[in-house]
Amino acid sequence: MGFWLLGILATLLGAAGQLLFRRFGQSQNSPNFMEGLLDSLLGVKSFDVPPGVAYLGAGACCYFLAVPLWVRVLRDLPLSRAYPLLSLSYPLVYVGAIWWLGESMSLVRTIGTALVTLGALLAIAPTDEGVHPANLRI
Amino acid sequence: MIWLVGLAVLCTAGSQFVQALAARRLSDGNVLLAMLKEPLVYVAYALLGLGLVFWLIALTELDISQTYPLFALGFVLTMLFARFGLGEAVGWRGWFGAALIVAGGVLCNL
Repeated sequence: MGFWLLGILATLLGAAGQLLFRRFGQSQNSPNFMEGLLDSLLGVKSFDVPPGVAYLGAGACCYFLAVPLWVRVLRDLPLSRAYPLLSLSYPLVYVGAIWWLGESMSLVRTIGTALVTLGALLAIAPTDEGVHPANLRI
Repeated sequence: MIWLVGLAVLCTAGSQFVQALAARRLSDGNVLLAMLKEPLVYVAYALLGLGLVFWLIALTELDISQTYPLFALGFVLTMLFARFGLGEAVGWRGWFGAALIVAGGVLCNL
């Protein structure tokens, strides 16, 4: 049971990392990314801590913390049982993008996200021959 | 901007192929030491980092509700590679799942 909780935590962390990356992207008002990043890092536009960099840092922490968590989960759960959790990240990111990031919800994207989630579930399910080749991702 | 997402997906999937190749080449014993000595491990990290840079740039302009589903195309690429590169069998569930992923990815980008 503990492995499932850990797997869910890893999935939530991964999704949170993606949302924070997008929040960072939203905070970059310069169309030139490198210029915007430099502005943020150097704090050219304000003397406060530039918020964009905080989002990037928090996102990177979530993103890189999720990896060892997954390794720990996969030590105790077979790949084919643990990976369906990964497909949860698509609806999680979608709901987070609408509620937290203010991206617009549309019927087409809702259906699209549902299809991708279902497709990922099917694609990473174990086959009759045993482990699916998609699980070669280790 | 959408081509940056394509590059990010390719780099991420490429990193996973290289990780799989690297894992097959690791000898028994001290895994950490073996990983540090395996050049492919560094290639995998470099690809992952490059993919992240492309992804971050794309996210300065594109909605994540539009672009994130495209990462599932990595599963499709892995499947095609396993089938045609490694000659492994892919069942109907795999192909059906791949079709749903492609259809869903297109819908999110309409």
